[in-house]
Amino acid sequence: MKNDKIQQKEVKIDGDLKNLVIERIKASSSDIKVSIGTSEYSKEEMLKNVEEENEIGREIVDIQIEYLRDMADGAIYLSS
Amino acid sequence: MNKTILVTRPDHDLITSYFSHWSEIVINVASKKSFKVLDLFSDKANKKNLISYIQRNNPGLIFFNGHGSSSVMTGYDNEPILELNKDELLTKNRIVYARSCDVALLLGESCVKKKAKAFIGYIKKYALVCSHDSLAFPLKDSIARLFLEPSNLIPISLLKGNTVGEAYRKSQESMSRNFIFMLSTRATGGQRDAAPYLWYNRKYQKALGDSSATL
Repeated sequence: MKNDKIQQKEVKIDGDLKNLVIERIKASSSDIKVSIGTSEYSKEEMLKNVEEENEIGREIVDIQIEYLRDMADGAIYLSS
Repeated sequence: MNKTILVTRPDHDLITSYFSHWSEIVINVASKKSFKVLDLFSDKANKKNLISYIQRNNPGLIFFNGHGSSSVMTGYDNEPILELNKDELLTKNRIVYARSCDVALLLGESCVKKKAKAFIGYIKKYALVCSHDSLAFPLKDSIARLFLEPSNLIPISLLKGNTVGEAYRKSQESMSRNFIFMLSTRATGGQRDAAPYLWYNRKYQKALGDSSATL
């Protein structure tokens, strides 16, 4: 039977959001290493992962965008 | 009151090494408070030791440090030491704090359903930001400190007799204070850039089970 398999398309990261995160990382300090999951990433490695839109790149975009949205919504004032 | 705590602190990579060093502060507090500390350090943080130490000593608090997923907590070299639908009874009648990614999501829920008093952990990735200059000296890392001091407040508050709910609140408040500092002009560039990651940890840290439980 045709189309039995559900094809899972990888949802691409919105281009504007991706560019926003890339610019934020570019503007960040080179002094930091970010550990997420089992590995740690330098600024250059974070940029590469976001540009490649791989699993860790998506995780970084999620964290950054969630932060920006929460700040815009005033969540920090509700939480403190 | 059960005055025994068990700490797993593998040290096989950068993040576990940081967790391990910062857990020493918790161990010192426990010792000062006359708790017996079962310290599963480095390659001792394996499943065989975990089971044996729990069965022999009946710890009131288990403080896991390491990597994890929604269904597995790991020890040294990422050996699974607590698994969903397999090991929950090891946590029965105990308070658990897992400093790890994701573990509270399914495994934590399942432990509480199977009679852990409480399970505190994270339902998404646990992020840690370190300073390049301090990688060899984790306790002197002024960026990682903003993450690990609030995290340590969970076990330290419990050791001081606070309830699970109070320990959670203190940890959350400490993260909020650090977060506000990180957005201020007093913070270094690195500290400021780390703010989104601390925010994420704060948002997804959860306390499950009996919030009035104490050690």
